[in-house]
Order: sequence, then structure tokens, then C-alpha cells
Amino acid sequence: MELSLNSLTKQYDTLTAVKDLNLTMASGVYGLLGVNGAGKTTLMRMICTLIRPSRGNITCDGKDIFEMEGDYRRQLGYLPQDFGYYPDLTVFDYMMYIASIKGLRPTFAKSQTDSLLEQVDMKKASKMKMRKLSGGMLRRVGIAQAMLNDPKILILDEPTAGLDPNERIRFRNLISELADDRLVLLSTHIVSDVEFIANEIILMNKGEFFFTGTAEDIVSSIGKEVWTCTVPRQEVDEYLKRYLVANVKTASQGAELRILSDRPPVPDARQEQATLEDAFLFYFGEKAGETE
Amino acid sequence: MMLKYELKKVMNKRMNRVLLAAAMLLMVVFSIFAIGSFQARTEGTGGEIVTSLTAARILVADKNRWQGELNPEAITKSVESRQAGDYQSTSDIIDSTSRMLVGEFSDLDDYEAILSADSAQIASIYDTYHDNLRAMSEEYGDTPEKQAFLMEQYDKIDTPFTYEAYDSWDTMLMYATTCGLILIIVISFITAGIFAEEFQYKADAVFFSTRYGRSKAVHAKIRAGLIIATVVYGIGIGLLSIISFSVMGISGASTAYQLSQPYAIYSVTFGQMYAILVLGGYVASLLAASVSMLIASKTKTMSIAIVVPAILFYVSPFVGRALPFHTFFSLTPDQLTNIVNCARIPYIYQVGSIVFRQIPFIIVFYAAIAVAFLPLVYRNYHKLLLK
Repeated sequence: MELSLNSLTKQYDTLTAVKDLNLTMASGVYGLLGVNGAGKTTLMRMICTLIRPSRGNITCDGKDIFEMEGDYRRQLGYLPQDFGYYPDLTVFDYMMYIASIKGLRPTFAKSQTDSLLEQVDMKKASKMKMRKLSGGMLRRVGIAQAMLNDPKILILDEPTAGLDPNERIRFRNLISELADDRLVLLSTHIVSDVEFIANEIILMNKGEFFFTGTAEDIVSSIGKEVWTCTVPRQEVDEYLKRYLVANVKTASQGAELRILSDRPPVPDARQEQATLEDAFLFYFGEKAGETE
Repeated sequence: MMLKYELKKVMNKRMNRVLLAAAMLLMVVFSIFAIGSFQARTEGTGGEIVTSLTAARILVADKNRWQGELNPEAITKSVESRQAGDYQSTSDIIDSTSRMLVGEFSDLDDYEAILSADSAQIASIYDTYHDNLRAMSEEYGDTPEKQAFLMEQYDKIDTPFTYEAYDSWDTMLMYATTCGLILIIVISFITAGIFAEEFQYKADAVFFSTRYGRSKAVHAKIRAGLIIATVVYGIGIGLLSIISFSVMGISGASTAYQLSQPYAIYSVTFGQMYAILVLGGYVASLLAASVSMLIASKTKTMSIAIVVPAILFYVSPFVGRALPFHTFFSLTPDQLTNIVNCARIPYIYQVGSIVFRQIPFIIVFYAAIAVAFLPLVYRNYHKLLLK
């Protein structure tokens, strides 16, 4: 199964939300990383046939997904960023309804619902009304509904948004479990969501892909060294202006800064291993400019 | 399975449950009003006026003393009884035979014209009635085709009439009209929600990204809307009818409607007229559901989808009365819920050489419109793209 974006563009009046994207994806986890407003959701909604491209197309094994209609969507699972649900249905009924519109036969729908609710640890809550669920529980039901038809293409738009750190880790592990033998496209602006589970990371900004590769590729692409140093607190603002600062931590001697720079910002700065978080900052952070 | 869960979505919605419960409660209340609208004077207890649950039965039993063929002898006896002071049991016969005698009432004395008729006039009352029917056909038929059509309809009226008290049907024609209007608004609200809720709850993205989200699932929604319209209307009117008729009785079901409206162009019994009224209300419910679903599927909101049927069925009658285009406003959808008035006035229309009556036309026409809107509802959802 191969999903290709071919010169994909989405224009809203004067705004180009997605600009001339080209990419071919096969099985594996793809992490779509970008700041808010980068065009991730627009791209995902096009992949889910919810909005049509202004130019270009998306093909699944060579066929235009908008022409394939139901044949394409039967292979699709989607968890939108703003996951809406029917508040007066129970979790079980919600799952059964989604199963029905995904074309699952009743017996299979029931067994699939039971097994997925078990997998996302929602079995005990299956009789609860959707309106009573917490944010984390809703996200788990969200992923379960996306998996109902055992999709070959799983699209997860900001799946960890609004979750507490524990829920996020749990959710990440769940996605990792579900990623076998399918194409998972996961959008996020939280680096740790994709750092460990994505086979390939796509950096997106202003509607364009500007880097595609593994986490290591991205980290090595920044061409900067990472340093930590301790500086007096009153000088922090000055450092923030002069350098790309990944982190500021209060220390007993002043403030400990994590800085991306070609050379040590202070003579006693310690060199550190660059991470994806540093790369994210490098590509998306506000760069005040490095001065001598 | 899709339809089952679509219906479950509707029935589990708190607001829908409240509305349905309120609508059914109103049906019970209206039944009580209908039953309580009767008052009868008892014979045995010296003319005591009864307004209890039994009033309708007492009144009907009293009137049914005249049950049978309404021939000149029966009319003469009824007139004598009235002149002897029996107003209660003779009121229907005096009223209808007076109308048969003088045609459309023009002054107050006409209401009791039969009381001053001589025996020759009473003996020839059905001849006079047929002459008046002919005069009516000439008055309302402004073309030869319309006149011939009206006469054809009037020829279907079987005379002499057979009298049986029809008070419960007469009352229910009024109450079922009001209840139909209430049910239509409830149906509009619920069916609009079927298509608007995907957006209201932001469930649209998941819905439209599923295999059948743009095909069978839309069909299921439309079917759910039609089922809701049928079931809600059926249960509502059924409840009203069962409660009311079981208390008031069904005397007069096979009495000719002409005994109440001698110049009506619909040769039907009271039972049939009630069935026509219920059918008109059902078509109105289907139309309301269809319009609501169409608008909700287009606008993605409930508000306009509820307002439009309300305008069609509630506001249009007032506009129709205020404006001069009576022919046009006699064909607007609100007429479906105004069957009693439609039956009272001989509205007929001519297209080329074809002449037709109002009630069959509006029922068939709006049923066809309701059905014709459904593919548009499907198309709206099938092609819908999100932002």
C-alpha cells in the first residue's frame, strides 16, 4: 500500500495552507512535526477526503483517493484533532455506530469493539455515556474508533493534545502497538510524541515540507553544536537575544542555559548531545541571531 | 445496524426525549380537552347539565334517537320535537336540513329555516337540496368544465342521508388539526438534528471519513428521519384518537360528512374525513421532516431548519389571509393541516381541460415534493466538504 501526495496544494483565498507537497508513504509511522498553523491539519483532512486539494492530488496505489471514494475510506482510520462524538450514546453504542458506517458486519463489529475497548483500557467504561468521559478516556475511544476497521492508513491528528504526561506516554505506547503493518501518519507539535515511535519525521512549516528523514537525520542536519552553561540570572535576557536557547533552568549559581551555537557561548560551556527537541527549536524557534 | 444506531442517536438525545415526552403529554391533554368540551342535558334528572367524561356519550345517545334514514317523515318529527322544546337532540338535523333548504346561510333566520318550512317543502327537501347543489356548482364553477366537475362531485352524494350523531368526529376534526401542528414542529426539530448534529458535535470529520459516511450512512439518516416522522405522528395522533374516541365513542363514523357541510364537494363519511385529515397531517409531517433535513444538510445548523417548516405551517396561513392571492394560498403547505376548512369551501382548479380538487391535489403534490427533496438531502451530504 502506497500513499502519494503529488504537487498537493490547498489555497484559501489569499492563504496557501498547503503548498506543492510531494511525498510517497508506505507502511510505517510518519511523524508530521510542525508548529500550530503549519498546515498539518489541512493536509490530514485532505488525506481523509474531507477537503479537496486546490491543485495536485493524492493517490493510493496509483488511484486518486477522491475517485476511489468508499473503496479508499474503507482502508482509512482517522482521529481528528478536535474529536467530536455523540454525547448521549454510550461508549459501546458509539463504537457500534461508527463500526456500522465503516461497513463492519454486526458480529464482527461487536467482537472488534470489545477487543479494541479492552486494548485501550475502556472495557469497564463501555456502558458510560460519552459525555461523562474525561479527556484522556475520549482520546482512547477516539483511537479505538479509528482502529475499528483495522485500517491500512491510520491518520492521527494531534492525538495527545490536552493529555497529561502520563496519558501521553500511555497513548504513545498504544500507537506504537497499533502501528504494525500499516501506514500511520501522526501530526503533532510535541517532539516527544514522535521522537521514539516514528520511522520517519516530516517537518512542516507554512504549508511546506522542508525536511524528511529519521530523527537522527534531522538532529544531524542542524549543523550546530549544543552547549550548556551557567550564567548570572541578570544576563539571561541578553543570552536569549544573542543565541538560540533551548532551555533555561534556574541553578544555585544563576541560570543554566541550553544553547545551540557553532561555538561555545562561554569558555566553560559543556558540549551536549543534540536531541530532536533541539532540532525542532532550530527549525521552528524564533531565532534572534547569533552575534560574536 | 446503521439505521438502528441512527435511531438510537436520536432517541438517546436528551432534548429529543424531553420534546417527545412533552408532545405526548400534550396529546393526552388535548384528548382531555376534546372530551371535556362536551356538555349534555340529561333527560331523567330533570334537565341537569352534565360536563363530565360521560357528557359526550349522553349527548350522542340523545341525538341517536333520530338515528336512521333522514327522510321527510323523520325531518317532520324532528321539527316537531324541536318546536316542543327539544334543542339538544335535534340540533344537527335542524341545522343541516335548514342548510339543505336555503343553500348557504345568508342571515340568522336561515339557521332554523326548516322550522318555518311547510310540509310540501319538507317533502321535497332533497329536490331543493339538489337544486341548491346545482346553483352552487354554477356559482363556484366559473368555466363549463368546472361546473361539470362540481356537478359530477355533487352527484356522488347519496341521498336521502342516514343520520347518526357525529359529535365526537366533529370535535376530533378540530383537535386533530391542532395536534398535527404541534407534532409537525416536534418532527422538524428532531429530524433537523439528525443532519445538523454531526456538525453540532463536531463528529463530522469521523463521519465523513468512514466508508459509508457519504453513501449508506446518509441513506440511513434519511430513513431515520422518515421513520421518526411516521412514528411520532402516528403515535401522537393515535394517542389522541384512542383516548378521545374510547371515551366519546365513534358514533357517526359512517354518517355522510354532508350532514355537517351539505355543500362540501367531498362525498365522504365523517370517519373518512377524519382519515383524510390524518393523512393530510401525515403528509405535512413528511414534508416538514424532508424540508428540515434538506436545510440542515445544507446549512449544517438546526435553527434555520426548524424555522422554515414553522413559517410554512404557522406563518403562511396568516400571510395568506392578509394577501389577495387566495388561489395561490389555497395551495400552500399549511392547507395540509387545514383540511376541515379545505373541505368546507369548494376550491377547484383548472389546468387546460383538467379540473381538480384542492385536498387530493395538495396531498399528492406535497407527498411528491417531500419525496423529491430526499435525493437533494442525500446529494448535499454526499458532496459535502469540510473547511
